[in-house]
Amino acid sequence: MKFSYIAGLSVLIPFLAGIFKWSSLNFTLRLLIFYLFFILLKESYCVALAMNGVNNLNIYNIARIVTYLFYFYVYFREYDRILDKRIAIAFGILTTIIYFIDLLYINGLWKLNFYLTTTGGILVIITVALYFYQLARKLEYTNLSAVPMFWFSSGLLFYYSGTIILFSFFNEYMLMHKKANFPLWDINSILLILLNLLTTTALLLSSKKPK
Amino acid sequence: MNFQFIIIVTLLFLVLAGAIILFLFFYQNRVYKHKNQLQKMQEEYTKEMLQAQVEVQEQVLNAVGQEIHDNLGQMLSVIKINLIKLGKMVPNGNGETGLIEEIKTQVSGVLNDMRNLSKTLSQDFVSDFGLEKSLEIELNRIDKTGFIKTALNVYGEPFKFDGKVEIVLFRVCQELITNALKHSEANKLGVELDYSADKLVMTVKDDGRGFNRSRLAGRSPEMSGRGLINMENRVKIIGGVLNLESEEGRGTKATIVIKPSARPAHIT
Repeated sequence: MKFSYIAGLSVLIPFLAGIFKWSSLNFTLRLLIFYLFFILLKESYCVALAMNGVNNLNIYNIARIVTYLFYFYVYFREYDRILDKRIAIAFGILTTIIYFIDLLYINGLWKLNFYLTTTGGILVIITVALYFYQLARKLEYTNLSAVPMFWFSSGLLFYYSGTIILFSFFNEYMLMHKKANFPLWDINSILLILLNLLTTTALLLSSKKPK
Repeated sequence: MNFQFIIIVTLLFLVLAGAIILFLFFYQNRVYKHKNQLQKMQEEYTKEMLQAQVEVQEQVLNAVGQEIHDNLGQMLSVIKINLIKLGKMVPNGNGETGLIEEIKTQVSGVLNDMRNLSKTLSQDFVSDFGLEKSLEIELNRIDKTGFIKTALNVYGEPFKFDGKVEIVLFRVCQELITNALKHSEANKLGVELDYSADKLVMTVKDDGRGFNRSRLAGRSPEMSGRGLINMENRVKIIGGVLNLESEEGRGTKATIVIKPSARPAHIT
Protein backbone atom coordinates (compact mmCIF):
# COMPACT_ATOMS: atom_id res chain seq x y z
CA MET A 1 0.00 0.00 0.00
CA LYS A 2 1.30 3.44 -0.94
CA PHE A 3 2.53 5.81 1.73
CA SER A 4 -0.04 8.43 0.69
CA TYR A 5 -2.88 5.92 1.21
CA ILE A 6 -1.58 5.13 4.72
CA ALA A 7 -1.29 8.85 5.45
CA GLY A 8 -4.87 9.43 4.29
CA LEU A 9 -6.19 6.60 6.41
CA SER A 10 -4.19 7.79 9.46
CA VAL A 11 -7.28 9.87 10.23
CA LEU A 12 -8.51 6.67 11.87
CA ILE A 13 -6.14 7.36 14.82
CA PRO A 14 -7.71 10.67 15.99
CA PHE A 15 -11.16 9.29 15.19
CA LEU A 16 -10.63 6.33 17.53
CA ALA A 17 -9.01 8.58 20.16
CA GLY A 18 -12.06 10.84 19.97
CA ILE A 19 -14.45 7.93 20.40
CA PHE A 20 -12.40 6.77 23.39
CA LYS A 21 -12.53 10.22 25.01
CA TRP A 22 -16.07 11.05 23.86
CA SER A 23 -17.49 11.68 27.33
CA SER A 24 -14.83 14.29 28.14
CA LEU A 25 -15.08 16.19 24.85
CA ASN A 26 -16.73 19.57 24.54
CA PHE A 27 -19.14 20.43 21.72
CA THR A 28 -16.42 21.64 19.33
CA LEU A 29 -14.33 18.51 19.75
CA ARG A 30 -17.37 16.27 19.40
CA LEU A 31 -18.10 18.04 16.17
CA LEU A 32 -14.52 17.30 15.16
CA ILE A 33 -15.21 13.58 15.59
CA PHE A 34 -18.10 13.78 13.10
CA TYR A 35 -15.81 15.64 10.71
CA LEU A 36 -13.09 13.00 11.17
CA PHE A 37 -15.65 10.31 10.40
CA PHE A 38 -16.57 12.11 7.21
CA ILE A 39 -12.86 12.37 6.26
CA LEU A 40 -12.35 8.71 7.06
CA LEU A 41 -15.18 7.76 4.68
CA LYS A 42 -13.79 10.11 2.03
CA GLU A 43 -10.25 8.74 2.36
CA SER A 44 -11.44 5.14 2.19
CA TYR A 45 -13.45 5.85 -0.94
CA CYS A 46 -10.63 7.86 -2.53
CA VAL A 47 -8.05 5.15 -1.79
CA ALA A 48 -10.38 2.58 -3.34
CA LEU A 49 -10.82 4.75 -6.45
CA ALA A 50 -7.08 5.48 -6.70
CA MET A 51 -6.20 1.79 -6.41
CA ASN A 52 -8.45 1.17 -9.39
CA GLY A 53 -6.87 4.04 -11.29
CA VAL A 54 -9.97 6.23 -11.16
CA ASN A 55 -9.60 10.02 -10.82
CA ASN A 56 -10.77 10.95 -7.33
CA LEU A 57 -10.04 14.69 -7.43
CA ASN A 58 -13.77 15.48 -7.62
CA ILE A 59 -14.20 13.90 -4.17
CA TYR A 60 -11.14 15.76 -2.88
CA ASN A 61 -12.50 19.08 -4.13
CA ILE A 62 -15.85 18.59 -2.40
CA ALA A 63 -14.13 17.40 0.78
CA ARG A 64 -11.82 20.40 0.69
CA ILE A 65 -14.59 23.00 0.77
CA VAL A 66 -16.32 21.04 3.55
CA THR A 67 -12.99 20.98 5.44
CA TYR A 68 -12.42 24.72 5.14
CA LEU A 69 -15.96 25.58 6.16
CA PHE A 70 -15.67 23.21 9.10
CA TYR A 71 -12.44 24.86 10.26
CA PHE A 72 -13.91 28.35 9.98
CA TYR A 73 -16.92 27.21 11.98
CA VAL A 74 -14.69 25.66 14.69
CA TYR A 75 -12.71 28.89 15.06
CA PHE A 76 -15.89 30.96 14.89
CA ARG A 77 -16.88 29.07 18.06
CA GLU A 78 -13.46 29.35 19.66
CA TYR A 79 -12.93 33.07 19.12
CA ASP A 80 -13.80 35.41 21.98
CA ARG A 81 -13.93 38.70 20.08
CA ILE A 82 -16.85 39.58 17.82
CA LEU A 83 -14.44 40.96 15.22
CA ASP A 84 -12.63 37.61 14.98
CA LYS A 85 -15.94 35.80 14.69
CA ARG A 86 -16.92 38.11 11.83
CA ILE A 87 -13.60 37.43 10.14
CA ALA A 88 -14.26 33.68 10.37
CA ILE A 89 -17.71 34.19 8.77
CA ALA A 90 -16.19 36.38 6.04
CA PHE A 91 -13.54 33.73 5.34
CA GLY A 92 -16.25 31.10 5.05
CA ILE A 93 -18.22 33.17 2.54
CA LEU A 94 -15.10 34.09 0.57
CA THR A 95 -13.96 30.47 0.36
CA THR A 96 -17.41 29.33 -0.82
CA ILE A 97 -17.43 31.98 -3.57
CA ILE A 98 -13.93 30.99 -4.69
CA TYR A 99 -14.94 27.33 -4.66
CA PHE A 100 -17.84 27.93 -7.05
CA ILE A 101 -15.77 30.17 -9.33
CA ASP A 102 -12.96 27.61 -9.43
CA LEU A 103 -15.42 24.75 -9.93
CA LEU A 104 -17.63 26.37 -12.58
CA TYR A 105 -15.23 28.59 -14.49
CA ILE A 106 -11.59 27.64 -13.91
CA ASN A 107 -10.50 24.11 -12.94
CA GLY A 108 -13.79 22.23 -12.95
CA LEU A 109 -14.59 19.10 -11.02
CA TRP A 110 -11.88 16.73 -12.26
CA LYS A 111 -8.84 18.87 -11.64
CA LEU A 112 -7.51 20.02 -8.28
CA ASN A 113 -9.31 23.29 -7.42
CA PHE A 114 -6.09 25.23 -7.17
CA TYR A 115 -7.60 28.60 -6.28
CA LEU A 116 -9.80 27.07 -3.61
CA THR A 117 -6.89 25.08 -2.20
CA THR A 118 -4.45 27.99 -2.11
CA THR A 119 -6.85 30.66 -0.88
CA GLY A 120 -8.45 28.31 1.63
CA GLY A 121 -5.01 27.28 2.92
CA ILE A 122 -3.91 30.89 3.39
CA LEU A 123 -7.20 31.75 5.12
CA VAL A 124 -6.85 28.76 7.46
CA ILE A 125 -3.31 29.91 8.34
CA ILE A 126 -4.67 33.42 9.11
CA THR A 127 -7.51 31.88 11.14
CA VAL A 128 -5.06 29.83 13.19
CA ALA A 129 -2.77 32.88 13.62
CA LEU A 130 -5.76 34.86 14.95
CA TYR A 131 -6.46 32.07 17.39
CA PHE A 132 -2.82 32.08 18.54
CA TYR A 133 -3.02 35.84 18.93
CA GLN A 134 -6.10 35.34 21.10
CA LEU A 135 -4.16 32.90 23.28
CA ALA A 136 -1.22 35.30 23.57
CA ARG A 137 -3.51 38.24 24.35
CA LYS A 138 -5.23 36.50 27.23
CA LEU A 139 -4.33 38.10 30.54
CA GLU A 140 -4.29 34.95 32.56
CA TYR A 141 -1.58 32.38 32.08
CA THR A 142 -2.66 29.39 30.08
CA ASN A 143 -0.69 26.18 30.11
CA LEU A 144 -0.68 25.79 26.34
CA SER A 145 0.33 22.15 26.38
CA ALA A 146 -2.95 21.40 28.18
CA VAL A 147 -5.15 23.27 25.66
CA PRO A 148 -6.55 20.79 23.09
CA MET A 149 -7.22 23.52 20.52
CA PHE A 150 -3.59 24.61 20.69
CA TRP A 151 -2.42 21.20 19.48
CA PHE A 152 -5.08 21.00 16.80
CA SER A 153 -4.22 24.53 15.63
CA SER A 154 -0.50 23.71 15.58
CA GLY A 155 -1.27 20.70 13.37
CA LEU A 156 -3.28 22.88 10.99
CA LEU A 157 -0.55 25.52 10.89
CA PHE A 158 2.13 22.95 10.04
CA TYR A 159 -0.05 21.19 7.46
CA TYR A 160 -1.21 24.25 5.56
CA SER A 161 2.15 26.05 5.76
CA GLY A 162 3.85 22.99 4.38
CA THR A 163 1.41 22.11 1.62
CA ILE A 164 0.44 25.51 0.24
CA ILE A 165 3.39 25.66 -2.16
CA LEU A 166 3.06 21.97 -2.94
CA PHE A 167 -0.51 22.27 -4.18
CA SER A 168 0.42 25.33 -6.22
CA PHE A 169 2.46 23.13 -8.53
CA PHE A 170 0.20 20.08 -8.56
CA ASN A 171 -1.95 21.00 -11.54
CA GLU A 172 1.09 22.19 -13.50
CA TYR A 173 2.75 18.80 -12.92
CA MET A 174 -0.42 16.92 -13.87
CA LEU A 175 -0.65 18.93 -17.08
CA MET A 176 2.97 18.19 -17.97
CA HIS A 177 3.15 14.51 -17.00
CA LYS A 178 -0.52 13.39 -17.28
CA LYS A 179 -0.17 11.34 -14.13
CA ALA A 180 -1.05 11.83 -10.50
CA ASN A 181 2.02 10.32 -8.78
CA PHE A 182 3.41 13.71 -7.89
CA PRO A 183 7.00 13.14 -6.61
CA LEU A 184 6.58 15.52 -3.70
CA TRP A 185 3.33 13.93 -2.56
CA ASP A 186 5.23 12.35 0.37
CA ILE A 187 5.60 15.81 1.94
CA ASN A 188 1.81 16.07 2.01
CA SER A 189 1.58 12.57 3.49
CA ILE A 190 4.10 13.32 6.26
CA LEU A 191 2.33 16.56 7.16
CA LEU A 192 -1.05 14.85 7.06
CA ILE A 193 0.18 12.21 9.51
CA LEU A 194 1.59 15.00 11.71
CA LEU A 195 -1.79 16.79 11.59
CA ASN A 196 -3.59 13.61 12.56
CA LEU A 197 -1.15 12.91 15.40
CA LEU A 198 -1.52 16.44 16.78
CA THR A 199 -5.31 16.15 16.47
CA THR A 200 -5.07 12.88 18.42
CA THR A 201 -3.03 14.69 21.11
CA ALA A 202 -5.69 17.39 21.28
CA LEU A 203 -8.45 14.84 21.74
CA LEU A 204 -6.55 12.81 24.32
CA LEU A 205 -5.76 15.94 26.34
CA SER A 206 -9.35 17.01 26.44
CA SER A 207 -11.01 17.12 29.83
CA LYS A 208 -14.67 17.90 30.61
CA LYS A 209 -14.57 21.65 30.29
CA PRO A 210 -17.28 22.67 27.84
CA LYS A 211 -16.76 26.03 26.24
CA MET B 1 9.44 22.59 -12.45
CA ASN B 2 12.07 23.06 -9.80
CA PHE B 3 11.44 20.53 -7.02
CA GLN B 4 14.33 21.93 -5.02
CA PHE B 5 12.62 25.32 -4.93
CA ILE B 6 9.37 23.72 -3.71
CA ILE B 7 11.19 21.84 -0.97
CA ILE B 8 13.14 24.90 0.19
CA VAL B 9 10.05 27.14 0.28
CA THR B 10 8.04 24.40 2.02
CA LEU B 11 10.79 23.99 4.61
CA LEU B 12 10.91 27.75 5.08
CA PHE B 13 7.16 27.87 5.67
CA LEU B 14 7.39 24.98 8.13
CA VAL B 15 10.20 26.68 10.04
CA LEU B 16 8.09 29.82 10.16
CA ALA B 17 5.12 27.86 11.50
CA GLY B 18 7.35 26.23 14.12
CA ALA B 19 8.76 29.64 15.06
CA ILE B 20 5.25 31.03 15.58
CA ILE B 21 4.32 28.11 17.85
CA LEU B 22 7.59 28.38 19.80
CA PHE B 23 7.16 32.14 20.13
CA LEU B 24 3.70 31.61 21.58
CA PHE B 25 5.11 29.13 24.08
CA PHE B 26 7.92 31.43 25.18
CA TYR B 27 5.67 34.48 25.23
CA GLN B 28 3.17 32.72 27.51
CA ASN B 29 6.01 31.60 29.72
CA ARG B 30 7.32 35.15 30.00
CA VAL B 31 3.83 36.47 30.75
CA TYR B 32 3.49 33.79 33.42
CA LYS B 33 6.82 34.69 35.04
CA HIS B 34 5.98 38.39 34.94
CA LYS B 35 2.54 37.87 36.46
CA ASN B 36 3.99 35.56 39.07
CA GLN B 37 6.54 38.19 40.04
CA LEU B 38 3.85 40.86 40.25
CA GLN B 39 1.68 38.61 42.39
CA LYS B 40 4.59 37.87 44.73
CA MET B 41 5.34 41.58 45.07
CA GLN B 42 1.69 42.29 45.80
CA GLU B 43 1.55 39.50 48.41
CA GLU B 44 4.73 40.79 50.00
CA TYR B 45 3.31 44.31 50.09
CA THR B 46 0.02 43.13 51.63
CA LYS B 47 1.94 41.11 54.20
CA GLU B 48 4.07 44.07 55.18
CA MET B 49 1.02 46.31 55.37
CA LEU B 50 -0.73 43.83 57.63
CA GLN B 51 2.32 43.46 59.81
CA ALA B 52 2.56 47.22 60.12
CA GLN B 53 -1.16 47.31 60.93
CA VAL B 54 -0.75 44.71 63.67
CA GLU B 55 2.25 46.58 65.11
CA VAL B 56 0.44 49.93 65.05
CA GLN B 57 -2.63 48.39 66.63
CA GLU B 58 -0.54 46.89 69.42
CA GLN B 59 1.21 50.20 70.03
CA VAL B 60 -2.11 52.09 70.11
CA LEU B 61 -3.69 49.58 72.46
CA ASN B 62 -0.62 49.69 74.70
CA ALA B 63 -0.75 53.48 74.77
CA VAL B 64 -4.50 53.52 75.49
CA GLY B 65 -4.03 50.93 78.28
CA GLN B 66 -1.18 52.94 79.76
CA GLU B 67 -3.24 56.14 79.57
CA ILE B 68 -6.21 54.50 81.30
CA HIS B 69 -3.97 53.11 84.01
CA ASP B 70 -1.85 56.21 84.60
CA ASN B 71 -4.26 59.06 83.98
CA LEU B 72 -7.88 58.00 84.44
CA GLY B 73 -6.90 55.51 87.12
CA GLN B 74 -5.01 58.16 89.06
CA MET B 75 -7.91 60.60 88.80
CA LEU B 76 -10.37 58.00 90.03
CA SER B 77 -8.02 57.16 92.91
CA VAL B 78 -7.92 60.84 93.85
CA ILE B 79 -11.74 60.96 93.71
CA LYS B 80 -11.88 57.91 95.99
CA ILE B 81 -9.46 59.51 98.49
CA ASN B 82 -11.51 62.71 98.45
CA LEU B 83 -14.65 60.69 99.06
CA ILE B 84 -13.00 59.09 102.09
CA LYS B 85 -12.05 62.57 103.31
CA LEU B 86 -15.59 63.79 102.66
CA GLY B 87 -16.98 60.81 104.57
CA LYS B 88 -14.88 61.82 107.59
CA MET B 89 -16.08 65.42 107.37
CA VAL B 90 -19.75 64.49 107.38
CA PRO B 91 -21.06 63.72 110.92
CA ASN B 92 -22.05 60.11 111.64
CA GLY B 93 -25.68 59.14 111.46
CA ASN B 94 -26.33 61.67 108.77
CA GLY B 95 -28.09 60.44 105.56
CA GLU B 96 -25.22 61.65 103.34
CA THR B 97 -22.81 59.06 104.78
CA GLY B 98 -24.66 56.19 103.11
CA LEU B 99 -24.64 57.98 99.76
CA ILE B 100 -20.90 58.71 100.03
CA GLU B 101 -20.24 55.03 100.83
CA GLU B 102 -22.26 54.01 97.79
CA ILE B 103 -20.36 56.38 95.53
CA LYS B 104 -17.08 55.09 96.99
CA THR B 105 -18.09 51.51 96.15
CA GLN B 106 -19.10 52.54 92.63
CA VAL B 107 -15.80 54.36 92.07
CA SER B 108 -13.92 51.33 93.38
CA GLY B 109 -15.83 49.15 90.90
CA VAL B 110 -15.06 51.48 87.98
CA LEU B 111 -11.42 51.66 89.08
CA ASN B 112 -11.23 47.89 89.17
CA ASP B 113 -12.86 47.50 85.73
CA MET B 114 -10.54 50.09 84.28
CA ARG B 115 -7.48 48.36 85.66
CA ASN B 116 -8.66 45.09 84.11
CA LEU B 117 -9.37 46.81 80.79
CA SER B 118 -5.99 48.51 80.91
CA LYS B 119 -4.35 45.14 81.50
CA THR B 120 -6.06 43.42 78.56
CA LEU B 121 -5.07 46.26 76.27
CA SER B 122 -1.45 45.82 77.15
CA GLN B 123 0.77 43.59 75.03
CA ASP B 124 2.51 42.34 78.20
CA PHE B 125 -0.79 41.01 79.49
CA VAL B 126 -0.96 38.19 76.93
CA SER B 127 2.80 37.58 77.21
CA ASP B 128 2.64 37.35 80.99
CA PHE B 129 -0.52 35.29 81.43
CA GLY B 130 -0.63 33.25 78.22
CA LEU B 131 -3.57 32.80 75.87
CA GLU B 132 -5.92 30.76 78.09
CA LYS B 133 -5.55 32.91 81.21
CA SER B 134 -5.83 36.16 79.20
CA LEU B 135 -9.03 34.93 77.57
CA GLU B 136 -10.38 33.85 80.93
CA ILE B 137 -9.73 37.32 82.43
CA GLU B 138 -11.22 39.01 79.35
CA LEU B 139 -14.36 36.87 79.45
CA ASN B 140 -14.74 37.43 83.20
CA ARG B 141 -14.49 41.17 82.63
CA ILE B 142 -17.23 40.98 79.98
CA ASP B 143 -19.31 38.67 82.13
CA LYS B 144 -19.28 41.26 84.92
CA THR B 145 -20.86 43.87 82.67
CA GLY B 146 -23.99 41.74 82.75
CA PHE B 147 -24.67 42.20 79.00
CA ILE B 148 -23.85 38.65 78.04
CA LYS B 149 -23.06 35.30 79.67
CA THR B 150 -19.65 33.98 78.71
CA ALA B 151 -17.91 30.63 78.99
CA LEU B 152 -14.40 29.43 78.24
CA ASN B 153 -13.73 25.76 77.56
CA VAL B 154 -10.29 24.33 77.03
CA TYR B 155 -9.87 20.82 75.61
CA GLY B 156 -6.72 18.78 75.10
CA GLU B 157 -3.20 19.46 76.30
CA PRO B 158 -2.47 23.20 75.87
CA PHE B 159 0.79 24.18 74.23
CA LYS B 160 2.38 27.57 73.87
CA PHE B 161 2.68 29.50 70.63
CA ASP B 162 5.19 32.18 69.83
CA GLY B 163 4.32 35.27 71.92
CA LYS B 164 3.44 37.34 68.83
CA VAL B 165 1.14 34.61 67.55
CA GLU B 166 -0.67 34.50 70.89
CA ILE B 167 -1.11 38.28 70.85
CA VAL B 168 -2.69 38.18 67.36
CA LEU B 169 -4.94 35.27 68.39
CA PHE B 170 -6.01 37.14 71.51
CA ARG B 171 -6.67 40.38 69.63
CA VAL B 172 -8.72 38.64 66.93
CA CYS B 173 -10.66 36.85 69.64
CA GLN B 174 -11.21 40.19 71.41
CA GLU B 175 -12.52 41.68 68.16
CA LEU B 176 -14.85 38.73 67.58
CA ILE B 177 -16.19 39.14 71.12
CA THR B 178 -16.63 42.90 70.62
CA ASN B 179 -18.49 42.26 67.35
CA ALA B 180 -20.78 39.82 69.13
CA LEU B 181 -21.43 42.38 71.89
CA LYS B 182 -22.10 45.18 69.43
CA HIS B 183 -24.13 43.49 66.73
CA SER B 184 -25.36 40.02 67.70
CA GLU B 185 -27.83 40.75 70.52
CA ALA B 186 -26.71 37.39 71.87
CA ASN B 187 -27.38 36.09 75.37
CA LYS B 188 -24.54 33.61 75.47
CA LEU B 189 -21.02 33.71 74.12
CA GLY B 190 -18.61 30.79 74.29
CA VAL B 191 -14.93 30.51 73.53
CA GLU B 192 -13.38 27.09 73.00
CA LEU B 193 -9.73 26.20 72.75
CA ASP B 194 -9.34 22.69 71.39
CA TYR B 195 -5.72 21.55 71.41
CA SER B 196 -4.74 18.46 69.49
CA ALA B 197 -1.33 17.12 68.53
CA ASP B 198 -1.11 19.02 65.29
CA LYS B 199 -3.32 22.08 65.73
CA LEU B 200 -5.29 24.44 67.90
CA VAL B 201 -8.90 25.09 66.97
CA MET B 202 -10.16 28.25 68.60
CA THR B 203 -13.91 28.78 68.36
CA VAL B 204 -15.90 31.87 69.28
CA LYS B 205 -19.63 31.37 69.03
CA ASP B 206 -22.73 33.19 70.08
CA ASP B 207 -26.47 32.54 70.02
CA GLY B 208 -27.26 35.94 68.52
CA ARG B 209 -29.16 37.00 65.41
CA GLY B 210 -26.39 36.02 62.99
CA PHE B 211 -25.89 37.65 59.62
CA ASN B 212 -25.60 36.98 55.93
CA ARG B 213 -22.11 37.92 54.82
CA SER B 214 -23.15 38.68 51.26
CA ARG B 215 -25.49 41.37 52.54
CA LEU B 216 -22.71 43.20 54.34
CA ALA B 217 -21.31 44.81 51.19
CA GLY B 218 -22.35 48.40 50.72
CA ARG B 219 -22.88 49.07 54.41
CA SER B 220 -20.80 51.30 56.66
CA PRO B 221 -17.08 50.43 56.81
CA GLU B 222 -17.52 48.96 60.26
CA MET B 223 -20.41 46.78 59.13
CA SER B 224 -19.29 46.09 55.59
CA GLY B 225 -17.31 42.99 56.40
CA ARG B 226 -13.98 44.74 55.94
CA GLY B 227 -13.31 44.10 59.63
CA LEU B 228 -13.83 40.39 58.97
CA ILE B 229 -11.45 40.46 56.02
CA ASN B 230 -8.97 42.29 58.20
CA MET B 231 -9.23 39.59 60.85
CA GLU B 232 -8.87 36.88 58.20
CA ASN B 233 -5.71 38.57 56.95
CA ARG B 234 -4.24 38.94 60.42
CA VAL B 235 -4.85 35.26 61.11
CA LYS B 236 -3.34 34.46 57.73
CA ILE B 237 -0.07 36.21 58.52
CA ILE B 238 0.42 34.12 61.64
CA GLY B 239 -0.15 31.02 59.52
CA GLY B 240 -3.73 30.27 60.54
CA VAL B 241 -7.11 30.15 58.86
CA LEU B 242 -10.22 31.95 60.04
CA ASN B 243 -13.55 30.51 59.02
CA LEU B 244 -16.82 32.26 59.75
CA GLU B 245 -20.18 30.55 59.73
CA SER B 246 -23.32 32.54 60.28
CA GLU B 247 -26.94 32.44 59.31
CA GLU B 248 -29.60 34.97 60.03
CA GLY B 249 -31.32 33.99 63.27
CA ARG B 250 -28.89 31.17 64.00
CA GLY B 251 -25.94 32.85 65.65
CA THR B 252 -22.35 33.12 64.53
CA LYS B 253 -19.46 30.74 64.82
CA ALA B 254 -15.89 31.81 64.08
CA THR B 255 -13.21 29.15 63.94
CA ILE B 256 -9.49 29.73 63.82
CA VAL B 257 -7.31 26.77 62.99
CA ILE B 258 -3.60 27.15 63.57
CA LYS B 259 -0.73 24.68 63.69
CA PRO B 260 1.80 24.71 66.55
CA SER B 261 4.60 25.31 64.05
CA ALA B 262 3.01 28.66 63.09
CA ARG B 263 5.43 31.49 63.48
CA PRO B 264 4.86 35.15 62.68
CA ALA B 265 6.72 36.22 59.57
CA HIS B 266 8.38 39.39 60.86
CA ILE B 267 6.08 40.77 63.51
CA THR B 268 8.19 42.68 65.97
